[in-house]
Order: sequence, then C-alpha cells, then structure tokens
Amino acid sequence: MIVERAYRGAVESQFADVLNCLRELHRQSGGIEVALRGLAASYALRSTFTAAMRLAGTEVDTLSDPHAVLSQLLRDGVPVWVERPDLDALGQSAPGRLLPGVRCLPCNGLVARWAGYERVWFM
Amino acid sequence: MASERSGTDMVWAVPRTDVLLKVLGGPYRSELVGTAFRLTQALLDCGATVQVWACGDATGLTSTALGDTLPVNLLDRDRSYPSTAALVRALVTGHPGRLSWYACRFCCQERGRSAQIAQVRMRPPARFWEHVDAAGKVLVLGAS
Repeated sequence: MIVERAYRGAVESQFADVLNCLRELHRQSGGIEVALRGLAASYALRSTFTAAMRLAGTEVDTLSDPHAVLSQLLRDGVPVWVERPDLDALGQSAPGRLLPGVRCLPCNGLVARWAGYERVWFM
Repeated sequence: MASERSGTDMVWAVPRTDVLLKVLGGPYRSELVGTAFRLTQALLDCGATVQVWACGDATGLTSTALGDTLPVNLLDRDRSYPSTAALVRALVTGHPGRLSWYACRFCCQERGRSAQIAQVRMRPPARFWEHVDAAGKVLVLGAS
C-alpha cells in the first residue's frame, strides 16, 4: 500500500483517514505492508504535534492523528517503509526522528521491491 | 435561514465585517478546511467580525446531510466525532452577531447541497460583490 498524498483534511476526515483505512485492509486481507512516499514520509517521524484545535470554546480532539495511527500500524505488525531521499527532503533532523520499527530504503528501493508483492496499491 | 429568500434578499443588506473569507477549496483534499476553521477562530479571538463565503465543494461543509457527527467508528464505538456542519453551527452560534456563514446558492444547487444547516444563508453568486464591498479585507482560500 503506497501512500503518496498526505494531510487530506484532519477536520473533515478525523478517524476516517487513509491510515485507519489501511488498518482495516490489514485486518481484512491478512497482511499488508505500507510505503510512505513524499510528504507522507513525515508520518513516520516522531512528533510533538497535538491533533486538536479549539473551536467555539471547545477542544476538538478527534482530528486525524497520523503519527498515532502509524504507531498503531507498527504495533499491529505492519511493515512500514520509507525512502531516504523523502526523509532528507523533510530536513536534516528527519532521519534521526524516524519512529522505531520504520524501515528505510535507498532511492528507488521501493520500486525494486514491487515484483515481490502480489499487489501494489496506490492509496 | 437555510432556504434562499429571494423576496427579502432585495432589501437585505450584507452586514459589514472586518474580514471576508472566501473558501473555494473542497474538503478531503488538503488541510485547507482546517486552516479556514483555525483562521476564523483566530480572527474572532482577536475581536474581529467575520463572514465566510463557501463556494464550490466547500458548500458541502454545511450540508444537513452530514448530520451532527461522522458515522460510527467501528474501532471506537463510544467516541463521537463532530461533523463540519456541527462545527460551523457551534462557531456561528458561539459568536452571535460576529460571524456569518454564507454558501453560494448556485454551487449548492449544482452539487446537490441545497439543504444547508439553519446557520447558513445561501446567496446568489450575482450578489457576491456585495460581500466584498461589505468587508474590510478579503482572503480567498483554495481553488474550486
């Protein structure tokens, strides 16, 4: 499962975001692997971001939280891949902030693995 | 207020506001909707008066079809997730006289979203410039 488009609307999507969809596909299919490309690679970084906003005096704390869901995917046993150039594009400190368990490949390393999979889905 | 009242619109004048936010971008594409919400709240917190004009797919943010909450999250059934319609309702009712939310009537009809929540007033696009003239500053967010 390749995720290239990131941050698609935390307010309107909330729990119904692409990573939660992948959790469900993992459950139904019996096992998936996830590749985060482009800006989506930032999902794999440790972050202090709080997925919440205050509106009309109320804290809306149900927004999409990709860092938390990705951590759950890893706990579910889903292999998660990123490519080094995508990490480098996120800043000098990005490679050092990779979540434990996320696997990093060199440039084009993901494409080189495609032949080994039964299906390749762009999500 | 959800249905356009063309008869009264002839005499109704757009209340003047400090800022007009025209929201063109649709939901589920980027963080534009979140930006619109955050910006609106920040302006209100600063004491500004605000009007929002939703065009294109942004009219879907306040469709009555959304209800007050998202469908049940099967992984967390007890948790409630507010719809964008509920959030707009809370924003408007929480700031009486300081925030108005308008939806382009043409876009609502074109996209099957003519049923809007009561806090939204539908306006014909031919009268859009009245809103520009009634605002101290206009910010346009996104593309349709």
